Amino acid sequence: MSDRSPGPTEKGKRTRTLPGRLSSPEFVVKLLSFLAVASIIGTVFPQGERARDLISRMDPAALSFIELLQLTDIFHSFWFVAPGILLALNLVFCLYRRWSSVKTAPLPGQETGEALKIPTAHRIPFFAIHGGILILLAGALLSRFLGIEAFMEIPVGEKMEKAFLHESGKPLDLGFQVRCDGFHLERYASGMPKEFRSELTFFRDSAPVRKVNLLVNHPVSFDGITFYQSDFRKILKARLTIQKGDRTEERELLEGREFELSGSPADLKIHVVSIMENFMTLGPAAKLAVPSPEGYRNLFVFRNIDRLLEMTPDLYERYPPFDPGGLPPYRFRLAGLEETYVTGLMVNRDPGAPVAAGGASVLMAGALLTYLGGKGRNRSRRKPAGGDHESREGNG
Amino acid sequence: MNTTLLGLVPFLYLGAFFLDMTGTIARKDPLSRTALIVAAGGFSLHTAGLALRWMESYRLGFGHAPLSNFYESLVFFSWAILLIYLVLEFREKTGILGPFALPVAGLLMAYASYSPDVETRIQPLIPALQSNWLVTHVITCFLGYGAFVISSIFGLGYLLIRGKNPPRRGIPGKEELQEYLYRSVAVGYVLFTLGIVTGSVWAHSAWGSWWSWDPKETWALITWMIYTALLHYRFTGKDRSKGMAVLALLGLFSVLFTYLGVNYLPGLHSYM
Repeated sequence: MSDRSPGPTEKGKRTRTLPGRLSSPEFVVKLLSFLAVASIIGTVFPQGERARDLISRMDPAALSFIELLQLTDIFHSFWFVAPGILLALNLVFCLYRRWSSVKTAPLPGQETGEALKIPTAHRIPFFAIHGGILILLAGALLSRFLGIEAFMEIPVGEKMEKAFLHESGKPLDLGFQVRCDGFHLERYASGMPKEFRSELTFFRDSAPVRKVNLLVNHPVSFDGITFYQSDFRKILKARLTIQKGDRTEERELLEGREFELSGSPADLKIHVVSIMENFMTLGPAAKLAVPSPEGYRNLFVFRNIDRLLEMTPDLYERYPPFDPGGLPPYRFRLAGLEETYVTGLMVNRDPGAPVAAGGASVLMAGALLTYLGGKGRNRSRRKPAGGDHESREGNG
Repeated sequence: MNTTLLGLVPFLYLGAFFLDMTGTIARKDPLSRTALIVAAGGFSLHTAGLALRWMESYRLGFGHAPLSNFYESLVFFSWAILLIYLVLEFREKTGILGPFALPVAGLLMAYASYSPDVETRIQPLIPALQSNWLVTHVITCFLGYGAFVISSIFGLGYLLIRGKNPPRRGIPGKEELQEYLYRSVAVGYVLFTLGIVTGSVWAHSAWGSWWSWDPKETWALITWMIYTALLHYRFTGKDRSKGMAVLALLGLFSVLFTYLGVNYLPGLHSYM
């Protein structure tokens, strides 16, 4: 083969310059091997959320080593991204080199140029495959830096205008509101889930604009933002009666929410810590946190308070937080619990998507062209011969 | 009904394997030719079984292509290997694929049909699988896997055969093996790339994310990088045939891990 003989061959010239070295197939193979090994580590070593448990059990020296090498986020670490960038540069140089060799293609008969060795039919697939990958990467970068990936959970009946960003957990103002009117879980006769469906209404300036059914695999876009049915969970909703003097009002409460008491000072916000079906075998209960001079204190509101008092008449003296009148002048009572759904939605904006899709199409078209070209070649030559390698030298 | 039909297929493939082996050892060409016919018969039955399963799923009221659970993936993997084997044997008469491709395809089918761990009933699709991308994604991936399995046989053959010339008539020499290897990898590579791209498009419409570094995605990428390296290795100068053969075997390991190994890592693609 040509590279065995030293001399002013194309290959010899290539390896001397930096772009030449960066665009060589040797370099591609080395980069790919490195990235493959790094990826294997990334599937074995726990990443992201899953690493939390491991990290908590680490000694500080090992932890600082893991942090230095970003071992719990390998796919975004400098030593994974840098070879990736080099691979992209390699593609750029490779395309450039091939392009200039096409433009300066020597006339037939001159055996020196590299372009001569590549049949014309192979040039288009070469540019399509390698260029397609570059376009795809550009689309991915666009989405990464200009796109949004967020998540929101809407309990049935609630309206929300904020999602939470995946990376930072910061709230993202959507600029419109989404209400979940219902969540439906259908099952097959065998019990396997058949359909997860959220009924959503989009609101602009508090006016309903569009009603949709959101299903898995069928995302819906509104105002440039796309929603995906991605998760759901069941939660308990508590119906709480609040008595003040001779006035009684009823509230529906969800875990993690705050509510204000009517007629109270504006800063008296009560936090719903948890809603439990059976708290310490005492039956349904809601755990509230109410502000007090010493910070927050807990208040437990029971469904079966009358029965509990029968069993333990001095309950309130023994456990002051169980006193439903623990925040005078209000008196709380848990009227009932209800099961309801929270729908989990992926929310994103993906400006690179059309670019990436274009790149993927170009790449696939190129790959299919090589395949078709390969078939034709194969028919014309029954037995593979050594000399054939030369004509494919440029394929890589 | 379809499982009964498909349950016969491994016997035909393994029968073809024994005929082929006997033919090769006894140097009786007619035996090897009969083996190929038996294998083709098994493949027809295999195809009919898949078609029947597809129709039966409609009769059960939740019709879908038979490409949705572990059993169906094993059956289709085996089908893909046989398809590529038969195309190559009829067109090129490589002469070395039978002793490897037939038992692999036969054992895959035997495991799928008779292992108590494999659920053979037709199951309806869970919401995540209810997508038009399911069929293209699975078909391209598994045809790619099939071509990679075949290429690893050429790689193994390359490493086992000593000397440049074929040890006997009817068996390819090293140069031919290397050419077959390269071409089968190229075919598998195109299909597998298409499989990754369709998978990514599907993930985007299901979860809103093109790529989430789920173990199956990552291992598919590792497999893809190994075969990309293999295709480029050829152009790094000198005679790289041996290295390519080794990479083809490494690629096979990666394919198997992408297919099965990731079940033991947590992720979205688990069959279990």
